[in-house]
Amino acid sequence: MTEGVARRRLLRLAAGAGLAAAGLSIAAAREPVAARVDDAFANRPVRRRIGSAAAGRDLASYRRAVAAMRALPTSDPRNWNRQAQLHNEHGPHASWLFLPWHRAYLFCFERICRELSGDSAFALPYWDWSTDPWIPADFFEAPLGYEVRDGTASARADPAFVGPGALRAILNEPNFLVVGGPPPPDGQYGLVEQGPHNHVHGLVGGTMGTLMSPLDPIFWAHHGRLDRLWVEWNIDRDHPLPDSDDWWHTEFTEFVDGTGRPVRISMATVALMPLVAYRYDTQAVT
Amino acid sequence: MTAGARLLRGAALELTTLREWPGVVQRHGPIVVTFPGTEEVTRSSQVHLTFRVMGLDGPVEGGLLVFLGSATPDIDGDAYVGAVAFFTHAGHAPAPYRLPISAALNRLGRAAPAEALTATFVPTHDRPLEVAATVALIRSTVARR
Repeated sequence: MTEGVARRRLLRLAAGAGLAAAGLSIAAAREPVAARVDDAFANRPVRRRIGSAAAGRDLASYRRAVAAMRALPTSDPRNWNRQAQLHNEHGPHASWLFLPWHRAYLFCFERICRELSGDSAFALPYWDWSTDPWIPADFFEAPLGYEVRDGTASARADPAFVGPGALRAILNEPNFLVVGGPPPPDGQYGLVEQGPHNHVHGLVGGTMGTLMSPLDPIFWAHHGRLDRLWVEWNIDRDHPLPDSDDWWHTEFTEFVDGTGRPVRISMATVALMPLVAYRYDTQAVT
Repeated sequence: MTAGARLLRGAALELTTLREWPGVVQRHGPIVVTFPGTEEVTRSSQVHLTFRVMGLDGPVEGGLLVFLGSATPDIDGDAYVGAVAFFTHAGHAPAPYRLPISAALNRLGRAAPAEALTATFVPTHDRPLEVAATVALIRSTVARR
């Protein structure tokens, strides 16, 4: 792709999908569009590390959202079990779709949390098992606790899988086909999935060791950290994504927005999300 | 160029297996797999160890620590390659794993091509497992246009 093509693709997205991802509408603008867009991008919600003082408000909103989603009827696609069922039925593993599908999944889940918690600035807090290897205490108390779990408060993530050396090996590998996995249907783990992803699922255990793992509220905090790792690799370290039509033409259509309406999410939108819709508290390139 | 424009450019990626050498499993506690020594592996900067793990049924905690040679397991040592964790789902066969090993080969200063290469798989939890492993010479390309 030439630089001109890349720029045109970006501008199209910024005018459409990217702005939609950020929750903006040019048509509704009353102020100069450029100023609104710049402000909205710069002030987009920040996903924060659980344990940091700033994450307290998001955890409170997360508790309200989880309780509200569990109380929804199963006819509502935002219902807690219905959301977990999405992972069971559609969640790709051992392929290059693993990382983008889970990013889109978290993005829509975050929108639902925002709507049901009443916190329009909510961003999904993440569990940084690389620095805090114990399951966060908040996830042993209702409504974030979960009964079908093996991991106790003393269970500790193993640095062989989540420590600095393990993450450095991932961040230093330049080929996305190794880091994220190969195109389907080859069926091979990428470094992120076979290492920290699988390990933490197994450490928490119980339902987290199954494809219904999103029933455990820790799932979303775990995958937030995995998404942060992808952001570090792709955006902060500037390792490229595939330049392949098979990759860029992928769309996800199984998700719903905060109000329960179906959405269609392109791979380009997924790629841009950390630059326009949310960012991490550690993100170097914003 | 903005970060967004650069991000959307991507790169032509390739991961091609040029040659591969299946290993022979020796089972004495940790799983040791031996591969034929070849000059190609010694000289290449792109060598991967790919492997499948058998004997995983149902949700399984744990994983494997992988080392070159049969050294005492030490994840801070030169022979350490990496770790993989199990995550099995009902109805889904476990996928194969891949670990780049060139950096460990370089650290070990492996210069004698006739010497057999061995990989040691140390389970983090005590359970019977089988490993089928292959050393592969890879062409890994990341070409921005």
